[in-house]
Amino acid sequence: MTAEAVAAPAVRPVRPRGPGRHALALLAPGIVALLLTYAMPLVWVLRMSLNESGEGGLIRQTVSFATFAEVLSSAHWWNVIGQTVELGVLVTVCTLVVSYPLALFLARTTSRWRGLLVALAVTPLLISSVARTFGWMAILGNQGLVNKTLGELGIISEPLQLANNLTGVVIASTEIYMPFAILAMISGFGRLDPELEHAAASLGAPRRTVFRRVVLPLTLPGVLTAALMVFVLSLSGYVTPRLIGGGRVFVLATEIYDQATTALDWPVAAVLSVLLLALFGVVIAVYLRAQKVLEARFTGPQGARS
Amino acid sequence: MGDTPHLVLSGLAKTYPGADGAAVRGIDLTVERGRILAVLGPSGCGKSTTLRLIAGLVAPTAGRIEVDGRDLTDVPVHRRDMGVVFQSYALFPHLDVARNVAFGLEMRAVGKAEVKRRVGEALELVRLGHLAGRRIAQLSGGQQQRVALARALVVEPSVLLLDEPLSNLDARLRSTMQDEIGRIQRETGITTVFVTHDQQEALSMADSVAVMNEGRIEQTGTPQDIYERPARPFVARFVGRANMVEGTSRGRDGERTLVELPGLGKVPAAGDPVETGRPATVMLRPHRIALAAAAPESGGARGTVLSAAYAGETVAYRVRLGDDGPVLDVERPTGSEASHGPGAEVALSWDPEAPRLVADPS
Amino acid sequence: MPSLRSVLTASAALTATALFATACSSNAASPAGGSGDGGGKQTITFMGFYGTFQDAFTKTVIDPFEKANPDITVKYVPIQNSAEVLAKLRASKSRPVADVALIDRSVAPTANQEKLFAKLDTAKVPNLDRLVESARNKDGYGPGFSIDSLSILYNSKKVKQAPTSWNDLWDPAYKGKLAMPIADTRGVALIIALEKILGADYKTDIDPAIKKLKSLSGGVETWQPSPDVYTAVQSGEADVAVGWNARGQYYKDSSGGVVQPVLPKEGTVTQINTINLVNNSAHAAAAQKFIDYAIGAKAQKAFDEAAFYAPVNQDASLSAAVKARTTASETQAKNQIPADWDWLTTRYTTWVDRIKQEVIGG
Repeated sequence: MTAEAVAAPAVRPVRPRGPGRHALALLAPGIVALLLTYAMPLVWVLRMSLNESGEGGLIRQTVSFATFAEVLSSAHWWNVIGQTVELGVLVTVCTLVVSYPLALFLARTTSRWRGLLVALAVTPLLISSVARTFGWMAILGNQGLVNKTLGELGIISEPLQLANNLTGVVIASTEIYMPFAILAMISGFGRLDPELEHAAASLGAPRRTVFRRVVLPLTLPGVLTAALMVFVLSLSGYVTPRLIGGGRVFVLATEIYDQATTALDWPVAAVLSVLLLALFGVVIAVYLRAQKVLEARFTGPQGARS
Repeated sequence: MGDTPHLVLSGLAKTYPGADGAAVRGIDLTVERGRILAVLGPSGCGKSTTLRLIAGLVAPTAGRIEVDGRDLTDVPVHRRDMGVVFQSYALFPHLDVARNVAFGLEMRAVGKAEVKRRVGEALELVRLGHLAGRRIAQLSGGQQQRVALARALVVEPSVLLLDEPLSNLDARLRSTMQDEIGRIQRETGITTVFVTHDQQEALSMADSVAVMNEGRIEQTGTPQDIYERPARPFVARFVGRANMVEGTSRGRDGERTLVELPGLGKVPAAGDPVETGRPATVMLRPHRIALAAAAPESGGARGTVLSAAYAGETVAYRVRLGDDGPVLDVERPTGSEASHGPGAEVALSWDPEAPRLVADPS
Repeated sequence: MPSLRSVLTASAALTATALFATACSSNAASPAGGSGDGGGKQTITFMGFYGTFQDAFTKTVIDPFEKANPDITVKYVPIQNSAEVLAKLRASKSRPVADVALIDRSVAPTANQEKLFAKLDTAKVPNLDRLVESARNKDGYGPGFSIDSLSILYNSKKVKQAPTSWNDLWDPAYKGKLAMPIADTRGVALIIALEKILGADYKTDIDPAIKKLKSLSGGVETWQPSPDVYTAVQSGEADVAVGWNARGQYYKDSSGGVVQPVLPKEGTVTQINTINLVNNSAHAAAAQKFIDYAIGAKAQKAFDEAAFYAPVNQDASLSAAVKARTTASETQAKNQIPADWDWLTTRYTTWVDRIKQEVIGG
C-alpha cells in the first residue's frame, strides 16, 4: 500500500478493474432467478403473515400482529414447534451416529474403490425421497418385511408399530438424510491425516485414545456441518413425516401445508412459515457460533496470528 | 555413548498386499547406542518403509527388530517407545504447542507438574520456550519441525526416528536445522535413525550411512567409506558424482588391480580384486582428476575438452579420452589454475588412490 | 477459509427457506389462451380434480360436449384439491387462469364471497331448474356437479363379517387395523353422522362425537394412510377405513372386489363438488353453455355411471346396479343425514383442529 502511494504521482492513474459489466451480466440470471423463486415468495409470505383470517378461509387484508399473537398464545402450536425440534434432534442424532463411521471409513480408505464407494453412498440421492419413504413403509409397515419376518419366525405375535408414528419417521428420515450427512462430513474431514493417528500412536496412544484425542476433535467441524445440514433439512422436512407419520406426527412443515390447503387459513400458514424461518435463523446462528469456537482451536484467538 | 549394538534389524522384509514386488527385501542393520544412522536412497527404494517397520507403523513380512536385545517385532506401535518425527511433522492442529509436546507424557500418565516441567525443558531444548501457547497453524515450517522434535524427544524414547526431516524446509533453514538436530542429538545422546534422499544430508549428519536401493541395502559404512570407497556402481553414482569406465582386469599390481581402460591404458585401481581377464568397472570422482595443457612429448592420459561450464566455484569439463575413447566429467576449482576452452588438448592425471574398482553384486 | 463448508451452510439455509416459501405460494399458471367471445373457435379452461376423476370427466362430459359444440374446445387443468383452485384464482383475479372450476362445497362460499366466481345466468343454464334440492345454490352461484358420500371401506379378504354400521368401527376385531383419514372434510362429515347416531345436534355441541372418536383412537393404525386410504385397504395395510364412496366404488371394481365400500345403514353425509363460472372469464357464454351441459341429465348419467357419484339432475336415471352403489339408492336417499355446508364453512377449521388436537393428538 505504501509503495503504491509513493509511486502514484509518477504513474498515470489506472482505471480500477473491479467486477465489470461482464461479471454483472453473468450474475444477472442467477439473481433474477433468486428474486423470482426466493425473494418474492418470501416477501409474499411475510406480507401474508400480517393479515388476519376470517371464517372459511377469508383473508382480512391488514397489517397487524394479531395472527402472530394468536399462534404464539396457542399451546397446540407450541406443541407443534416442540415436536418439530424434537424430531429434528432425534433425526440429527441418529443420522450422525449412523453416518459417522461410514464417512470416516470413506475419508480414510486408500482403496482404489474409494471413488466408487463414495458415489455409492450418495446414489440414494438419485431416488426421490417419496419413493424411498414408500420403500420404508414396505419394510416397516404392519404387513412389512420386518413384521412379516419376525412374525413368521414366531418372535412376535402382534406386529411392532414401526410405521405410522414417530419411530417410522425417524428411521426413514435417518436413511434419507444419510447421504447429505456423509457428504458434509467427508468434505469437513479435511484435517484428518492418517499421519496424525500414526503420530499419536507412536507417542503411546492406544487406538481408542487415538480416536478420542485426535480423530474425534479433528472431525468435529465436519460433524457440525453435517448436523446443521440434517437438522435444517429435517426441520423443513415434509414428505417423510407426512407419508410415514400416520397423521400422528405434527411438525411445522405438515401443519403449514394443512393450514394452507385444508383449513385454508393462509395467514396462520404464513405465520408458521415465518416462525420456521426464525427457527432456521436461530439454528444457523448457533452453528456459526459453534464453528467459530471450533475454528479458534485450530487458528488460535483472532489477532494472535504472527 | 559406546559401541554396544542398540537397535538391531535382522532379515527385515515387507511385501505390501497387492504390490508387485517386496518393498523391503531382507535388511540387516545395527545401530550403536548414541549413534546416528542415515538410511539414504532414491524415492521408492524402501527407506521410508524401513523406518515405518522400526516404528511399528507397518508390520514386517519377515525378520526381527530388537532394541537392547529385546524383540520388538510384535510389540504394537504405542508400546514401542520410539520417538518419530514425520516428514509432514504430523503435529496435532487442534492442540497448541505445549499440548502437542505434552501428548506423549499424558499417555504415560505423568503427573501434571512434571508434564509442565518436562514440556518446558523440551521446548527450551528446541529453543521454542516462548511459543508454548501458539497454535500449530501460526508456526513457520522450521518452528513446526522443532515442535515435532520436542514432542518426540520429551518422552525420552529409546530410539529417535526421523523421516526426511529436512525435506520440507528451504535451503537456508535446512542447514540451520541440520546443525540443530546434530546439537540436540549430542545433548540427548539418543540413538537416531533418519531417512533421506539427500546424500549431502546423510554424509554430514550421520555417524554411519546405509545406502538403499530397490529394497536392499547396497552398502553400510562411515560417510568416508560410502563416498570414497563405494562398493557398488549404484553407491558410487548415487553418492556424489562419478565417472564409471568399463575395462578388463589385467592382473595384480601389489595392493591394486591393473585394469585396461579404453583411451587410458592400464590403470591401477584400489578395491576388491577382479580376476585377470574379467570385465572390471573403475570409478573416478570428477574432482579428483587434474587437467593440464598437454605438452606434445608427454605420455599418460590425454584428451580433448568437449565443453567447459563455469559454475562459480568450479568449472565442469567434459573431456573425451584419446580420439574416440570414453567421455569423462572433470571438475576443477576456479581461480587457482588455468582454464581450458573447448577443443583444447589436455593431459589428465590423478593421485593413485582415486581410481576405485566397483563391482556389481554377482 | 473453509469455503466449501460456508457454501454448504448457505445453501442449506437457502434451500430450506426456499422450500416452504414456494410451498406456501402457489405457482400461478399462465393465463388460458384463446380469443374473446367474438365467435369462431373458442377454448375454455376447466379446472377439475386429477386422476380417475379427470379420465371419467373427459370421456363422459368433455368429449360429447365438444362433439355437440364443434366451435368450443375444453382444456382440462388437473388440480389436487380445492385449496389449489382457490390459490390459483386468488392469484389471477383480473385475468383468471380458468373459465370453469370445480370446488368443494365447503370452500365454495369463501370463493363466492371473494368474488372469485360469478353468478350464473339462469337463461343460459336452463338445467339449473332440473337440479335436486341439495345441488342448488340459493344465491345463484355455481350449483353442485357431483354428489359423493362418506363410506366405510373394508378389505374383503381379511374381514369376514362385513361392517354395516358406523358403530362397527368400534368393533374390537378391527382394533389396530383401522385407517382413519379424518383430519379433513371426511372428519367433518363423520362428526355429523356420529352426532346423529348419538342423538346430538352438530350445530350446538360436537363434544359427544369428539368423545366417541377419542375412544376409537387407540385402535387406529394410521390417521393418514399413504398414498391414500383406498390403496391401504387394498394392500391390507388397513382392514377397515373411512373414505369417499365414489373412489371406493372405483377401487372395488379395479381391485376385483378386495376393496369393499359400505354405505352404512344409519345413512351417511354427502359431499358435493360445485361447478362454477369464474368471475371475469373472457368466455362467460361458452363457459355457461358447458356448465349447463355438465349438469344436464345426459352428462350426469354418463359421468355417474362411470365414476359412481349420485346425480345432481332429477332427470338423470342411473342404472339400477350403479344407483345401489351411490347415495341415490332408495335406502340411502331415505336415511341421508343432512349437512348445512354453508354453516359448516364457518366451523370447518375449528372442527378439523379439534380432531387433530383432541382425537389424534389427545
